[in-house]
Parts: sequence; structure tokens; C-alpha cells
Amino acid sequence: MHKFEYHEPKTISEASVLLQTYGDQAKILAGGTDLLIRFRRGVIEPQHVVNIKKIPGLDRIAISQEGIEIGAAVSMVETEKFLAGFPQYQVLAQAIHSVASCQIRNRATVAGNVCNASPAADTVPALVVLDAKVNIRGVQGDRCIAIENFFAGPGKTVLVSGEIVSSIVIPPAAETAAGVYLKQSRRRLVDLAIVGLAAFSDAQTVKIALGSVAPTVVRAQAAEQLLAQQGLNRTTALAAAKLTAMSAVPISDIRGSREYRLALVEVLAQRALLALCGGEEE
Amino acid sequence: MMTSKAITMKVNGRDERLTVDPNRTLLSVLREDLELTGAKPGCEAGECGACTVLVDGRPVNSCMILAVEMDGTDILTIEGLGGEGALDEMQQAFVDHFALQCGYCTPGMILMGKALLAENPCPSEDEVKEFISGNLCRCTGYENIVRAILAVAARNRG
Repeated sequence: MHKFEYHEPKTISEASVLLQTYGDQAKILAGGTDLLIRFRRGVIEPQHVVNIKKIPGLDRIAISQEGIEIGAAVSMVETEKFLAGFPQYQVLAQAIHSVASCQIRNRATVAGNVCNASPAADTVPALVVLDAKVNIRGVQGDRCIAIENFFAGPGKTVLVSGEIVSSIVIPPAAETAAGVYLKQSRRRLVDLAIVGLAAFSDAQTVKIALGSVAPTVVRAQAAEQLLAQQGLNRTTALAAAKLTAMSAVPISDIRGSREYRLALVEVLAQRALLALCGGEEE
Repeated sequence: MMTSKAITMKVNGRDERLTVDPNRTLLSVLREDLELTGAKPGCEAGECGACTVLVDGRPVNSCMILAVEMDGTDILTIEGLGGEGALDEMQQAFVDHFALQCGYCTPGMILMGKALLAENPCPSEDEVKEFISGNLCRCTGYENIVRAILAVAARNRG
């Protein structure tokens, strides 16, 4: 591994200043489960590493009127355990549980998964259907943006120099709301998604988001519109599943071909929507 | 330039004071500075689990953690299991069920068994399989590994 200076800021402001001062030569370390692989392979060799896990408060997960706030240093395992008490957020718990292994989830963070901006990130489709917000702190000031507006492309976010994601907030959802995250990978566990699909339904709307089939996670807007007009039932679920594939623009890669991904999107959408309307697949 | 850092961590019940360069992993410090070679380097990408140790009771890949981050933590490696000349019950179960062949994955597998039963004393077979899904056995001896862990769990059931 290359040589670097290691920083352990005690406040977010201190971390922001470090990041702004060193610019491209600084990287944030949270769980480190992606970062250290890139270091070891020499993909990136920043001169400064800023560990944000020692900043008081970032390791906090809590519920308030605003919803559930997941601090940037909270591990995936802690997040999943916290969510166990909230059936309406199971789509996120399932997405987290599908990430890598127990060892990785003990270190990795939801905020880190978001900030890496991988099109295959499992937690992102779940956060998108839950309308999550990203809290950003920076030298120039703070901002809070919808997760759908956070990504600029594969591996790219809208964060500017000196900015840090301090937490992810999931707004309140009715206890009767329900969601599901389905993932197809080459092996059942410890693998990246060929397609990841999150669906969430409450009394008003059904939302569907897709991972690994576009440069960023995308919403299945045509399918959502159909369900908004006609409601979710066993018949509309099948029609909406077909429309879901229209929102996917996948590439062929080592994990699956474009054609396979398109077929998978429809299958996973059908399974998810039927599960949400309580119907069995015929 | 790189500034090394003084850290203190408890390893297998003993306080260790070390000065480490920030670009070294926990795995390399355990193996090279503390001569605890039970945790193994494998894929070094978080996929094989050969480097698994418990940090504050939780299993992690020690090849994916910087040693400087470990200041103030409590670490258990395979060398910390059992007593003087005596095996831990999980180690004994691995022996009894022939749950090791080449032995490379064994320290990680045994620690995963310990971690699982600490949080779930009576797991199902599927729960065991899922829990050790981040640990590869290159001899493919999974059946006996699962049996060994379930045997210890069965004793918990009484």
C-alpha cells in the first residue's frame, strides 16, 4: 500500500478543512471496505486519509419526527439491527443484508455505500424508494439534498471539495407501508448485483428503483405512473413489471449481458410487485 | 512523507503498545509485529475471510482495516481461544468433526462459529451457512465445518 498521512479529525469542521486543503489528494475513510481495495490495487493513491469515525455524533443512529437519521460512521450491521424494529423500512434492511459478508457489513457504512456512487450499490435503490435525504456539511455551508439528486455518474457525486456526508435521513413512513429489495447475483451471497430492484408501496404510491442497469440508480417511472393511475393488484403488477424494463439501459459486462439484465428486471419487478400486493405468481 | 502513530490495543487479553505506519493493515501488524500468524492473508479484498478476527466481539476482515484505526479496541485472534494447553469447545468440535483439511481457512471459520453463537446460540443450518458465506474453504470442506458449528450449538440447546 502506498504511503500517506493519516488524520483523525475530532469535528466535522476540522474534517472539512482537511478535505478542502488537500483537495484531490485527500480521501475520506469510513468503513474502508472499498477504499483499501483501491489503495492496494493502486487505483488511487491519495497523500492524505481522513478517518471520520472518531468524530463524535457520526456514529449515532436515531429516530425523530424527521425520520431515521443514520450517521455516516454507523456500520451496516448496526443499521440493520436498528431497522429490525420498523417493518415499513424492511426494504433497506434487506438491501443492507444483501451486501457482501457479515465481516464487511461490520465495517462498511450506508453513507459510504452511497458516496462510492457505484451503479450496483445495494442500499441506493432502497434509499431512493424511501425518499431518503443526504445531509452534507461543508466549508461553504451545509445542505440537504434528495438522494436521487446526489449522483452525477458512475463513481461520481455532486459533493464538492471540503464537503462531507454527515448522515442519511429516511423520512417517516406509515407502519402499513411495505417494501422489498430483490437482488440477482452470480452466487447467492457475497457478490455484486447483476440487477438490484427495490419496490416500496404505501397508501398513495408505489415506487420502484433499479440498480446495476444504468450509469446511476434509476426510478422506473413508466411503471410507477401506471400503478399510480390503476393501483397495484395482480393484473397491474404484471403490466408494470413489463414497463419497468423500459427504464433500464444496461450494459453487458462480466456479471451479465444487457439482454439478460433486461429480462431479469422484468422478473424481479414482477416478483417484488406481486409480493407487495399479496398475490402469488401464477 | 508519513507519520507513524502510537496505538494501544488489547490483543487476546494483553495490552499491546505499538508504533505503526498508517499504511499498514491490522492483519500485517498482527502477523509481523505480534507474530500471531493464525489470521491468514488470502484474497486481500474482503472476499475469502481467511484474515477474520474479532474486534470488540465482531468479526471483521483484518486485511481491510488500517492498524492505526484500532487504537483502544479489544481484538481476539485464534491464538486467544482456549486455555493453556486446552482447546476451546469450538476448536475441539472442528477436530471431532474433521472440519479442517489444509487448515488455511480454519482460524477464520472457528472465529465465525464463535461470533455466530455469541449472538445466536441456536442457529439453524441455513443460518450457519449464511453467516460463514464470507469465508472460503479452498478444500471445499464446508459440510463438516457446518456440522462442527451446529454440534456446539446443539450443546447450547442442552
